[in-house]
Formats: sequence, structure tokens, C-alpha cells
Amino acid sequence: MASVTIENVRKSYGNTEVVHGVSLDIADGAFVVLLGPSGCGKSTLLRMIAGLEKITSGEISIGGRVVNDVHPGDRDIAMVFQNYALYAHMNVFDNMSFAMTLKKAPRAEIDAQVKWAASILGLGDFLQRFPRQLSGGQRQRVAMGRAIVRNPAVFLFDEPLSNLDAKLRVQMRTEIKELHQRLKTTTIYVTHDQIEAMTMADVIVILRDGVIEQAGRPMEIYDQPANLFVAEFIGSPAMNLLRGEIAGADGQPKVRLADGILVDAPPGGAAKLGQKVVLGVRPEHLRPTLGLGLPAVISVLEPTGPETHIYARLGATEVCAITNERSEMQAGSAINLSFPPERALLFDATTGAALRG
Amino acid sequence: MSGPAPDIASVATVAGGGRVATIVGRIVLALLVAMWLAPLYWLVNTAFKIKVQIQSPAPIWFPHPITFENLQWVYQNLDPGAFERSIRVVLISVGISILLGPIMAYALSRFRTRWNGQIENWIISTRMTPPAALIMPFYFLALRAHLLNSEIGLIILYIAVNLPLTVWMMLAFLRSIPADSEEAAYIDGCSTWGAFFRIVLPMMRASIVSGALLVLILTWNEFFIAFILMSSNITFPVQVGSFLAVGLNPEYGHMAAAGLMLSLPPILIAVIFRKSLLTGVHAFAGGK
Amino acid sequence: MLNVMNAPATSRPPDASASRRARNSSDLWRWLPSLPGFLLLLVLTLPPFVYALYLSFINIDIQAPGINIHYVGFANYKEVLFTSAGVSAVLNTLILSFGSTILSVLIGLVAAYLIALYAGRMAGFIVVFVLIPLSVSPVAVALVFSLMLDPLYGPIPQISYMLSGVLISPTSNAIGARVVIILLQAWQWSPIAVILLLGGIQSLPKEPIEAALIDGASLFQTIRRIHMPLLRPLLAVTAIFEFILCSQVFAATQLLTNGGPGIATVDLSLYIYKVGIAEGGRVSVAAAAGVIALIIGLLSTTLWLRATRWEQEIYR
Repeated sequence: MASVTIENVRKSYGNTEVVHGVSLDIADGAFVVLLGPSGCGKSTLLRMIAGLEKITSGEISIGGRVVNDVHPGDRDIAMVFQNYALYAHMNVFDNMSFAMTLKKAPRAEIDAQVKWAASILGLGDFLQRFPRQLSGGQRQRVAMGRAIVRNPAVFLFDEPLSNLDAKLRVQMRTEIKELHQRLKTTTIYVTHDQIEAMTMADVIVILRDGVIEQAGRPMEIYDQPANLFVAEFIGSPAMNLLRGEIAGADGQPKVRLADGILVDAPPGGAAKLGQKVVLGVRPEHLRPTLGLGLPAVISVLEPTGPETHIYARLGATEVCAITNERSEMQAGSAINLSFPPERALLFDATTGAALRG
Repeated sequence: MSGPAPDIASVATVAGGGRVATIVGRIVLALLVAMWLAPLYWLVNTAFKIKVQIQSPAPIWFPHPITFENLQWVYQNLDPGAFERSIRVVLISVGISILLGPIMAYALSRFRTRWNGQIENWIISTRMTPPAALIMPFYFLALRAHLLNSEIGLIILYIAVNLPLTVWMMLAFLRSIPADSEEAAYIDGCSTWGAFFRIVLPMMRASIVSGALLVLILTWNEFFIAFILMSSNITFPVQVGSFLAVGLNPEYGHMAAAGLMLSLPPILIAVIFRKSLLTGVHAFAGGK
Repeated sequence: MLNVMNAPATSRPPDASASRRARNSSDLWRWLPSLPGFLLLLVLTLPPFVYALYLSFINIDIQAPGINIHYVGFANYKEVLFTSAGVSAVLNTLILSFGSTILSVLIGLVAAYLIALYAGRMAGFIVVFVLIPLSVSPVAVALVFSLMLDPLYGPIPQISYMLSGVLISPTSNAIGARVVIILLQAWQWSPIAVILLLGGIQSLPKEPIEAALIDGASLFQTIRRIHMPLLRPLLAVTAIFEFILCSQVFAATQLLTNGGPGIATVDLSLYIYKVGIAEGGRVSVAAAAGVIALIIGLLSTTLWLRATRWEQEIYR
């Protein structure tokens, strides 16, 4: 187990820089998820940590040792690839024991280690089989088994669940998290799926276009996104965003929306009068009310079972509200929506940065 | 519920004139296949005929009696050196080509530099340019250096001709494999070439066999270079070709028997290893 | 679901980072194992090429003794390109190659469609037969055709005599000889077109064909309007590939027709052989002809590479 330090790391391909000076401190034993849309540089960053890509500038240290020029095999890491990357011509046992065989470890040790890893992942019956005889989920377990056998200082995961079907994905998510809780190995996990990030991470690092937008605990990021991008990226259905400008400071600040509607703004903001802002309200905080509220017209209702997603038009904007109550609402009917102002978030309309009190 | 997705064959039956077209189509196809097999049939036919029947004024479609005297003549009178030489030359040049080829292809495919594309183009150009283009300097140099008729010289030339072919085909195959397993091997502690020998090479077995077979057949059949550079120490195709250089009235029976011996090995290889060869042809011309 | 025990005690490798750092092979060194092959190729292709160029600009003639060797400019090229023998050689190369190519591609296309449409389960079987002409040595092909076309004993003239009463000798006139070579080449190399085009037809996307079915298109309409545009790149690749293969004819022109009658089937390869070795020893002229053949070859190869790239773009 070791900490990982990323200091001002940049990556360029030719003249194009894709990672711009990223710095990150990953504590020993932490489960860190690198999250972001395609092309944001998360996989590139992971591969630089692994040693599969050269670092253009900056330093990466594992366990206090700078590893920029160290061969991937000597970094004491193990990696689980999106496409499993198994050795097709070897059986499961040989796949998992390959690294130890290379280091000429004694036979008994290899046996014990592989059997231990296999028992954790339920692969005991498959050791003699070949990858082509296994299902996708089983192959992914073999890939994980191969990583566990190494007993490395750091686990690296590169979108390992993307090729699995939805049900298997949910199951494997839990298993990976259980594994981490047991083994307590530092884990760096790359994904574009924010649900994976939210459910598994100790720390989420959100990347966009080669830059860290925000890093922090899942709930921190959820409740206090640093900017519009993060606010929209995390949370499904996405946060409602209403554009407007600050009106009426002192006492109860308000935001005047584009079509003139006036709503209560979160108190104690640093916003100035007249500032163009975006008001963010999470769907679960937006509720239909019988009393005073913002007038909206229902467009579509999505009953999901435990809750109902109400898509409605609020002035010129389409918003989403979530409610647990069953009612006789119908598309086309008018409703009033309200939200607790202290749960809303304000963002500067130009920079996207969060405005906090 | 919809049935299996219609493919071009079902389009034919539904939209292409149905049964009549199918029958006509099959007849034409049979004719085409007959066209491709007919000359070979005639070769076998002639090889087993007695001279009288070969020289009959009307075509005799099946030898009666079947005689082995032509084959016997060839076996007894043709210098076996040519046959043995062909085998030697083919095995050595093919062997070395498939030893060097995968390594070159791996380097070209995994170690990217600015010039890799150019190098690949150059390699395939060396194979595709007509041998006639460069035969003159080779011949003249060999003539002056008294290296004509050197078996080693021929082997080296054949390697130069076969190597680009193997490299090209290995390249096509390597391009279709993502480098994931090799990266996993690096992380497991393998060195670059270690990963090649332990991980990639086993996966390339099929395409290496494919390339080897293709090159085997092409080298066995090769005539142009062998004909020009060797007048003694000749290879088997040149020896068989000399039947036609005799002038008028060659012994057709003997000629056919020799032709049969020349054609049989590659035909057998083609039929036995057809799957491998077909993949090879697609890989070669598909380029990738 | 997870059944976790503690990891067995293993010996972790000592931190040998100092010595291991050198293992990260620098980029240039890792090319080392591949160098012998590259060097071999380089040595065997570049010097001869340069030497050919050199030869083509001087006046080596084995049969003219005692002439001092000097630079003659483009005289050799002029001889190849402007004398009747040379022009004939170049023209024959083009005639024979294009003729065989067109015939091969046509046969290939027809055969490929027939197999795809009507062969059903026999398709694999038929493809085996198709491989056979490809694997036969060109020498054997020349041999067989000379057997079949022999004016006295060959079945083809004999049948034609029985049908028409006319004795024919196909290789005894210029046009006949060329036709024979073209047919021979097409016979041997059309299977490549069959294999490639069959592969292409069988991997055509199914949806447009289904849509055409629903729209009521006939077979020919489907082929013409939907298949052909999609097959165009593959057709280009196949055609150029056939051209390259057919242009390297030698055994047939040397052994079957011996360039004849006269010089009717002398193409560039045979011209080089005759002028440079067999009938002349006029090394420089032959070298110039070789350079011309090289140019044609390089052009074709470049076109072919472009065509293969075009083909991939359509499908990626």
C-alpha cells in the first residue's frame, strides 16, 4: 500500500497538450475515482501512473518514489483493463500467475497466491479454463484476479465495467468496493459513469479537457459543486439550471429569471445586484406544492416505481422535479413547484463558478 | 416475428427470378469451375496416356490403358538435383523469412515513429514491383562476380523477395490486435521483446502459418529469377520449363508427367490448408 | 458474495529500483532485433536500384568489345521508348496487363456473385477449387496450355477442326497469341478476384438490402444501385492487384509463345531478358527498360495502396 502523488503533470502528443498541469495527492489506502466525459484525459492520466504513457512534464511518485522513468513492471502496480487484456493462449491459472512466474517465484508460493485470489473472486473452478471459454463477467474477474495476485501497492482500474451488461455492472461494483474494504489497497479507478463514482469512491476527481474541475468526497461534490460543469455532470436526472440575474439584495435575495419570474435565492451569497447568474436546483429538491410556488405546465411524467419524475415547463425552461407521492397529475396540467432556497446553488453565468456565501 | 435477416441469397430467391435463375446460375457456376479445372484435368490425362493416344487426331478424354511410363521416365531421367534444390531453396528462404518477418512487423506496428508509414509502403513496394525491373543489375553484377548459378545467391534473393510479403501479412494481423495484452504483460513485469515472445508470438501462430504457406507456394513456383540467374544448378520449375524450350515435337507425355510433379505439391498444400491460405489472401490484399 | 481470507505471506521483491531503471529500454535500442531483416532488405533493394540507374545512363554492351564506357544521357531510354521494338514491348505490357486484368475482374465478379447467390452450402467447396489455379506454377500453366493448344494434338484446335473444318493454330498469329496470353493469365489470376470479391459481397451490410427488398427492387437493381457503390473501393483494390499480378507474366511469354510470333507477345519483362541477356547483352538498354518497368510498378503500387486506404475509410 502506498500513497500516490501527481505533481503538475502535463501530457502532450506532438504539439497538442491534453493534460494541463494536473496535481493530486492520493492518500495511502484511498479509493480515488477519476471521473469525466470522453477525452477529458482521465485514461491518459491513469496510463501515465501505470507507465504506459510517457510523462511530458511533471512528476508522479508512488510510495514516495518518483516513478517517471521506471518500467511499468517495476512500479509495484497492477492494472485492470477495459477489454480485460487477458493472455488468450494461457489458462486462467497461468494468466494469474504470469507475473510471479516471470520473477521466478517458488511454485508453492505461486500456488498459494493464485488459489487465494481465486477464492476471493469465485474463480476456483475455472483455473484450468481458457479465456475464450469464459463469459465477459468471468473474464473481468480473471483480470481482477491477476491484479490481486500481484499484491501491489496500487490498483489501477481503466473503465473495467464498461463492457459488462447493466446487471453485472451493479454486482461487480459492490464486489470491487468490498474488495477494497478488505484489502485496503490504494485504488485509482477511471470511469465516465458518475453512478460508479458516487457509489465507490472515497474521493472523486472530476476532469474535463485535461484539467481537474473538482476533487473531493462524493457527497461534498454532490452538495457543493465547484462549477456548472460539475453540477450538471453529477446527479441523475441532472440538476435544473435556471438563468437569470440577481434582483433585490439585502434580506431575502432573489433571482429574476429570464421570463420575469422572481424566485428566492440561497441566502448569504456573494452575488451582487444585477449579476447574471445560473440558479441550480436538484430535482429532488423541486417539489409540486399545493400552495404558493412557481407556475409550470407538465410535459412528461416518468413513473419509475419508487418515485415519479415530472418534466415541466417553467416559463421558457424545462425542469425536472422528483416526488415520492402518487397523485393524479397528467401531462398538460398546471402545477406549482417550490424548493427550499437554502438547498439551491448559485453560479456565475459567465464563468460557471459557484457563488458561495 | 421476423425470420433470419435476409441476405443476398434470399434476395435472389425472392427477387431474382426464383428457381429458373437458380438453375441457370448453378449451371454457369459449374461451367466456370470446369473451366478452372479443365487444364489440370488435361494435364493429368496426358501424363497417364501412352504416346499413341497423346498423338491421336481427336481428343481422348480418358487414358485407356492408364500407363505410368511417363512418370517412370521422369523419375529415371530427370536430374533429381533440380527437385532437391527447389526443396532446399524453398525451405531455407521461407524459414528465414518467417523468422525475421514477425520481428520486423512487430517493431513497425508497436514502435511508432514518423517514418513507420513510409517504411511500410517501401516494404510492400519491394514485393509488388516487377522482378524484371531490377533483374538486370543483379544479373550483371552476378555475371561479373562469377556468382551466377550460385544457390546461395538465389536463396538470398528469394529471402529478399519473401521477407516483405511476410512482414506485410504480419503487419495486417498485428494491426487488428489491440496492444492491451502486451500492456498487461509490461505491468506484470515483462520487457518489450519479452512480451513479444511470450504473448504476441503465440497469438500470431495462425497468421505466421498463413504467411509461410503463401510464401512456400510462391517460392516453389518461382520461375523468372531462377531462369535468368541459373543455367546450371537449376531449380525444378526451370527444369520443367526446359521441356518447352526443346523446339518442335516435345515428348508430351514426359512433359505432362513433369508438369504434374511440379504442380502437385502446391496444389496439395492449397487444398489441405485452404482455410489458412484464404485468410492469408484476404490479409494481404485487404492491406489494412 | 466475496469470500475473503487474508493474503498468504509472500516475499515482496526487494526494491531494486536502481538496477531496474536501466530496463526501461530507450526507444532506439528496442528496434535492435528487427534490424537484421531491415538491413537485408535495404542492401538487396537499394544498391541494385542505384546500380540500375547508373547502368541505364551509360553504354554497357557485352557484345561490343573494347568500347570505352561513358555517359550517354537518355539514349538508352530513347531506344526503349522510341524504337519499334521498345514501343512494342511497352504497348504489349499494357495490352496484355489490362486485358488480363479486365477479364479477371469480370470473371471474378460474376463468379463471386454466382457463388454468393446460388452456391448455398457448396460455397466453401467451390472456393477450394478456385484456389487450385492460383497455386499452380506459371511454368506448369504454360506447359498445359501449350499441350491444349498444340495445333496437331491439342484438344482445342482438334475440337475446333471437328466443328468448323478449319485448322487453327492460336499462337501463330499476333492477335491470337496475345489473346492466348490474356486468357491464360485470366485463367490463373481470376481466382484472386473471386476470393476478394466474394469476401466483399458477403460482408455487405444487410440493412440496405433489406430496405431494397421492402422497396420492391429486383436483383439486378439491388446489385447495381446498392452493392456496386459499396463495392467500388474493393473493386479498385482487386483490379489494381490483378494488374500487378498479371503484369509480371514471364513463363507464358517465354515458354509458350517465346515472344512470338515475331515480337507480338514481347512485353517489358521479356524485352529486358532478350535485349539484356539472351539476344543481346545490351545491358544498359535492358537496365533502362527495367527502370521504366519499375516506374510502372511503383505507380501501380501507389495506386493500390491508396485504394486499400479508401476501402478502409468506407468501412471504419
